[in-house]
Parts: sequence; structure tokens; C-alpha cells
Amino acid sequence: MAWGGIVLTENPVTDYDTFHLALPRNRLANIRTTKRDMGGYWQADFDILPESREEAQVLLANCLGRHVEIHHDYGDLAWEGMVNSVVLETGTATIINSLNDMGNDVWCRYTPIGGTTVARSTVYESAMSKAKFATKQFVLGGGEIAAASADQFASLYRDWNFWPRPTLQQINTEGQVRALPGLTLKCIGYIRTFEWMVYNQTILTGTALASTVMQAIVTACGQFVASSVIGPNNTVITREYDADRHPLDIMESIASLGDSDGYTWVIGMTRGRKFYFTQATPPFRLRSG
Amino acid sequence: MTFPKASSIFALYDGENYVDLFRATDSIAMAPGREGIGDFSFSPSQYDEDLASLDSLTFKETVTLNHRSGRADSMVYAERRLIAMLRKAWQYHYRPRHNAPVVLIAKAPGETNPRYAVVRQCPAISGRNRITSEAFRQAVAADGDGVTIERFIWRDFMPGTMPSPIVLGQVGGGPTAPTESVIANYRDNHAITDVYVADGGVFGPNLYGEPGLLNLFPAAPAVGDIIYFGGDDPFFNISLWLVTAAVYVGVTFVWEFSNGAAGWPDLVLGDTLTLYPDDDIWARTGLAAINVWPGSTWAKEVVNGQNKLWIRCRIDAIATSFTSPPQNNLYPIYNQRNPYVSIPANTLEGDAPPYLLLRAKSPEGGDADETFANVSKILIGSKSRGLDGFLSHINLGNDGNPAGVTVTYGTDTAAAASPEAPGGDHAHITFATDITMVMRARVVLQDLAADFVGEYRPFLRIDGSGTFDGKVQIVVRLDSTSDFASKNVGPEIDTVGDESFEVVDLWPLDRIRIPFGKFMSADDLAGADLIFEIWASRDAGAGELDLKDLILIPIDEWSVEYVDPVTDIEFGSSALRGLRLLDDDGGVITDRTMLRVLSAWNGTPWPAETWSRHGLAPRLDPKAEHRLYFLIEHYNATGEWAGPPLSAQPPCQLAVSLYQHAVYFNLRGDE
Repeated sequence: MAWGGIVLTENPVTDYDTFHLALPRNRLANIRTTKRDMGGYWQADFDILPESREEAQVLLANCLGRHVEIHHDYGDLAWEGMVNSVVLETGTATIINSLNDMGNDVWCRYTPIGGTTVARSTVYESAMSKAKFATKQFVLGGGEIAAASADQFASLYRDWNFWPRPTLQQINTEGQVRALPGLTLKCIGYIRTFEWMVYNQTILTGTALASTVMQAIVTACGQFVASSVIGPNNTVITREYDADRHPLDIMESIASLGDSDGYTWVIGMTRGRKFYFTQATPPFRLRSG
Repeated sequence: MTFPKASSIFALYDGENYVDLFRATDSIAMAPGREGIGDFSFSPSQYDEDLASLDSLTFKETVTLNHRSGRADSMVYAERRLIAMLRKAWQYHYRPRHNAPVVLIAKAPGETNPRYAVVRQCPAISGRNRITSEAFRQAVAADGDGVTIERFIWRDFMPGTMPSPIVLGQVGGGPTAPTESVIANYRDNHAITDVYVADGGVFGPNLYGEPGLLNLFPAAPAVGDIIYFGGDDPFFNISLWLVTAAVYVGVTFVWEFSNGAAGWPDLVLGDTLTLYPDDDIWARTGLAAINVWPGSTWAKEVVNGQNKLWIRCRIDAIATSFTSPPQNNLYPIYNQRNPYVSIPANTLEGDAPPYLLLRAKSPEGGDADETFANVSKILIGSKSRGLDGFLSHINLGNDGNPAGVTVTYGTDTAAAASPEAPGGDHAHITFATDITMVMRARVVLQDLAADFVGEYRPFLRIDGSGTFDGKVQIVVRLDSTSDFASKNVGPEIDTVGDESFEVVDLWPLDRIRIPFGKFMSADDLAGADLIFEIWASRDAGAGELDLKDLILIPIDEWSVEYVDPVTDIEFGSSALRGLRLLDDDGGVITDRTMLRVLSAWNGTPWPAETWSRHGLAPRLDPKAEHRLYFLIEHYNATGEWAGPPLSAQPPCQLAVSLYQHAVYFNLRGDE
């Protein structure tokens, strides 16, 4: 199936600015998309052929977090997600700008000196970063330190990482400067934004049905979810997740349990930022009978 | 710019200056040497491959030039112009502020017309060192300089300039050879039947179908004079060709529709009315269109002895003067009721799909409200096969469809009259006895499967009565309604259910193939029926559902979506509304999709902002007859800008024209 154009627009859940970049097919190369049964739209990469160095530099700085739609040659949607990293290749240097290490809601898990139970530091946030990119929680591991040190660690990380900035990744001393830089955009599906958050629990003890817990996670952490379909799954699971785990990890674990009839279940996000937790289609059983 | 037929041409042109590479006669001459211009090489199929754009491929011209001049410094002058021109060519592609292409113009001996190609760059100029060159020292000449020019494909028109629009085919009862074609957002068979001018209450003759010069108001217009348009079935468009603009100052016109009770409610510009080319429609000449959406209260009324559905335009006040009426000529007044543009065979020229610019102008009326007057999405699909029997819009009310198309109904479903529905009826589902997913409406296309061979995106237009909470699904069957017939079953699709003419993508992420496997020329579908079924379920509540029509956008030849970026969610300023047009350009000027704003001062289409093109720019095979089928969508009055779902009410209208630069691999000849 051939590719059509790609459209970049503003972050769909923040109200920071407007952005619209319609890239016709002749400005694109090396389009690759991945869609998983477990996860839906997962990742995509493509190269933009910039019109000028200036445009490449602007895109390096201003593409992150943008909504991405990749289309088939006949116009229908092939993939959607957001820009997670931008890589600029000048021929002599590689510069990367990424949301990977960005955090605007940062805390430190640590063990107080001489203590035995894990504690959390103060949460340090950046309202400006959240306004542009939405919330991205980041949990630091502090080891055995004092509470003040944990706070200091989290505060410092927030100050350095609340806003993504281009980083020199590599210098090629034998390279030749290209007439126009190469620009690669690496995108993630919205399901991956469940890795931006941390989910613990709604209650410290007890169990709940898989569908109930899934709904609670989506409500708490699904900031990019526009709508959802959560099918009835009566598998009984715990309500305790007090380990600062990413919800994507928890959701995949829950889905992997399947259902009591032995059918496989999947989670993911599809077009229109729609989350699903449903029996796999076509349904197939993990075991016979 | 004309060139004598006998001469050969090989020249560079940047819009202002020429560098003639084939001038052997002047004192400062530059012409191909003994090795001449290098041989050509191309693959006839290279433009049929998976190309990013027509400009994805370049061709190389290698020229061996001889220079001659009386003085060395004069020769420098000629060389400098050549270098500057080729530098400009590079800058055009790599420095955006340089926005005029450099063009290579060529013509072989005896070739009638010249051909043009955008120069991409000159990777190398080489030659003998002038200090030691014997020819230079003795004759101020350079022998055998090599110039390599990378260019794009030849075309028949100067790149970067607009040609005249191509002549389109007749659609419905419209003009026979228009350069601008009205696109309706529905399809039915129902022509209007009556057009009257009432002069002080005295009715003139029926002007419908009259081809001559027609006064559209009395010769001496006065307050209370009216023009009526009437039909037996709902219509949403009236198209005219005005040859004389009305002359008036300070006149107020009121548009109204019949409600069966002599009430004549207003049609409100922007809400229930749009006018093309603008709201002062009678003061214009050329194509004019009136698009109406009277709604559920539109009812028949007796006017001049005719019991019809009417719209009318009444002179409500004359503040200053109304000197003379507008006049229609050339083409009879008609109602466009087809959603396609026809491109006759042999209209598109050249050796491969031409560069095409599709221009869609919108009528006036849009405001900050999300209505049919503000277009935010356009889907187009091209088809060149099976045009006799293919139809893109099938009315599920079983009214206004062509012969061979029959709609029958399943559980809890029946046809119901609706003045809002294409054809005048829709399929109404009550869910009274069964809310599960079962067949509700079945379309049988008798003996028509052969004309539908191809691939399609299926859409359904629905209207939930109350808040409908449920799903719809399409089932396609070949030739038989039996449970054991070959069939394809689409996914169950959630609807929003409370929007007027909500567009449901029935098979997102996939397509319908007809037949379901590969079709070869040795295969035969003659006599086979094609069957589409619409299934529906209700998940909750007591809502009911109206099925308006099934829309099939062909995608296997060329298809695209143009989408409003909605850069302003308060006023929807980036929508296609009055005094705007959308240009989708595959490279006539340059590859882009541009919303233009028409200057109120002089009508110039100023470039304003970029719309998204989902897919590729128009790419149609030359020589063949094509139809471009449209689905025009807008945000909904009860929704919000950029908020799903989009709707597609029938009175959405566009006026479409096409411009081409034909392309050639080698000679252009006399095309």
C-alpha cells in the first residue's frame, strides 16, 4: 500500500498554540509505521525533506508533541500519534530533540536514611511544560537518602528537563556538510503516553474486575484518550499497584490474562485517539475446550 | 510566446531573461557543438510507479556547447548569464525565498510546439582552460564546454503559470461544455419543473428548460416582484448562467420557501441558504448557484396553479433604483443534482498523468456557525471505467435512484418521506421489535456489478431521531441475497447519532473491493447483481435512525481528502466559505493545497493558508474519460469546530474547475 501525505497539527489535548504543517508526499521519505495487536498504533518514523536549513532548525525545535496523521495514497488514515523525537543530520553532526527524558511532574522514590519503607519526595512540576505537552510524570530512583536530598534531586531534574532541548548526539569529523540537512521524525502512538504517567491504585487492598481497573486507569492516566471501548472482562485482579509503575505496563499485564473462557484480550489505541480493551478480533482461544 | 516551427530551440528562461543555448548566428553565439545535446533516456512506465510526486523524477540533459565571441570579455558576459541562470535554478529548489522557477525550453526541428521543463540544477559545467585553449587564444572561442542540466519532465505550458481551465463535460442538465462545473452533495433523478417570474402578481410563462435570453425579474422590476423555482420533489440547488447583471442600487431581496400554508418563511443566508459566487448574486455574470436547505417544514403549495415545492426570491424594498433585471442565457436554468465533475475523453493530454490543479470555489453564506455553508472536508475519488452504470450516491429512501437500483427493507425499517433527504425519502428504522444488529436496508443493483468493479471507501449518511446510540455495518453481496452468497462484511461502526446528516465511515482502515478477489480482463461480471446491505443495532435508549444514502468513493484510480486544519476553533476561519477557494495543485504552480481568499477589491485569489491533503495530488491518466466523485463535509451546528462527527448536508455546493499542464517524455509534437 502506498503512502500519501503526512499532516502535523497541534497537540490535541493542550491549548498552547496552533500548528499546521501539511507535508505532501514529495517532501517525505522512508515512512515506516508499526501497528500492534497489543497497543494499536505503536510507532512511526519518517524523513522530512526540508525546504531550507532554517526550516529544518525550526522543525527540530518546534515539532515535539505535535499530532501526526499519516495517510494512504488514497487519502484514508494509515496511522496517528505524536512526534516524540526529531533527529537533524547535517552531515557533520547529529542533533536530537526528544521528549524521552522530559518530565514536568517529577518526584523521587527513596528510602530515608536508616528507614525501611519507601517514601516519595515532594512533586515538582512545570505548569508551562504541561500547558504545551500535557503531563509527563517522571520518577527518579534515589536510593537511601535524606528527604531534603530527595527533594533536591527531584527539583533539579525538573529544572533541567521540563522543556526538551536539542542535544548534540554525534560529531562526524570526516563528514561533509549536506546542502540541506536530513530531518527524521520519530513518533509514538498515543497508547505510549500511558508510559508518561504513573498509576498506583484507587484502594490499598482488595480485588476488582479487569474491566473496572482498566476503566480506572484510563480515567486517571488517559489524558490523550478521546473515547474508549472497554469490554466486559470479569477476570479478578488486584487493586494494589503501589510501585509507581507505568499504566501501560499494568494494562498489558491485565490484558494478557485474557478472560475466563480462554480468549485473548488486547488493549490499544486506534484512530481518533480511541482506547480499546476488547477481546481480540478475530477471537481465538489460548487453550482448547 | 511563440516560436517559428522550423527552428530548433534549446534555451533557459527565468521569467525575465533568456539564455539561448542554440544561437549560432550572432556575434556572441552559444550553440551545441559536434557532440550536440546528449541522448535521451526514460522508462515509459516510470510515472506509473509509486511516486511521491510528478517531480520525483529528473532527466539529465548533457549539452556540449561551443562559444564564440569577438572579445573575451563579451564571452564572459554570456557565460556569466548562463551561470547565473543555473544558480537561480538551484536556489529555486533549495532557498525558499527564490520562488520563480528556471525553465528549459526545447523544440526539435519541425516540432509544432515548444515544451518546457523546470530545471532542478546544474551539477557541472566543464571545459578547457581558457588560458591554454588554442581556440580561445586564436578565435575567442570555446570548443566543447560540457553543461549538465537536471530537469523535470517536459510539459506543454510554462511552469509556474496558470493555463486556461479545461473544458469539462456536461453533468445532469447542466452546461454542455463548461469550464466550471457545479458539484452537488447528493444525487437524485428529480429535475425542477417550473420557473416563473411574477410581475406584480401576474405570472409569466414557465421558463424551465428555456435556452434563450430570459429576464429573471420583470423588465421594470418593482417591489413585490418575485421569481419562483418549483419542483415535485425536494431540490437543494438552482444553477443559472447570468449573461446580464441586474442594475440596481439599494435593493433588498428576500429568499423564501413554501410551507404549505402560504407562510413563506425566510431562507437565511448562512443557515438555510448560500449563494454563488456571492450574496449579491443578481449583480454578477457567469455561473450562479442558489443552494437551499428549507428543512422539515418545506411543503408543497399551489402557485400559479401548480402544486409544487417552491423557493422564491422576492424584491422586498427598493431604496434607490432597480433599472434592469438580470438575464439568463446560454444554458437553461437547472438544478444540479449530481456530485461529480466530468472530464471528457482526450481532454487530458500528454504521455503520462498531467500536472493538475483542481480549483474548488465555495458559495457565500458561511459565518461562525458550523453549518453546511462552511466546508471543512472534501473527499474525491476518480473513476474512468463503468461510468454508464456506476453511481456514487445511492438513496436509501428508494427515491430518485436510476433504473436498475432497488431498495427494500428489513426489520423495523420502512421508507419515509422527508424534504431533507436526497430523492425526498429516507429509510426510517424504529427498532420497535429488534434492536440487535440485523439487516435494515438492502440495495440491489441489478446487472450492474460489472460497472462497479474497483475499490471503494463506503460512507453512510444518517440522522438520529432523538439521541440514537447504536452501530451500523455494511454487508456487500455478489449477485444473491442468500446466506450462502459470496459476501464481505464490514466492521460494526459506532455512530454519534444525533447530528443531521452525520457521515459514517463504514469501513475505516480498509476498503471494499468489487469483486472480492482480483478481477482480470478475461473475467466477466455481465448480468451479475451487486447487493449492499445496511445493518444497524441500537445499544441503548429509545432513539430511532434515518438512513439517508450510501456513498461509494472510488479509490483505485485516484482518491484524496482535503481537510480544513481548523486553525481557529472559535470562528472556524480556515473553513471554505464565501469568497474563498481551494486550490489543490499537483505542480502547475507548485505542489501545494492552498486556501485562497478572494480580494473584495479586485477578486484576486490571495493565497491565505494551507489545507491538509491526505493522499496525493490529482493524478489522472491522459486521453481517458474521467469522473471525479465528491463528498463535501462540514462541522455540525450542534457540534463544534474540529469536533466529530462531520456532517454532509445536501446543499453543500462547490464550483470546480481544472487546469492542466500536459507532460511529455520526449517530443510534444502538435498537442
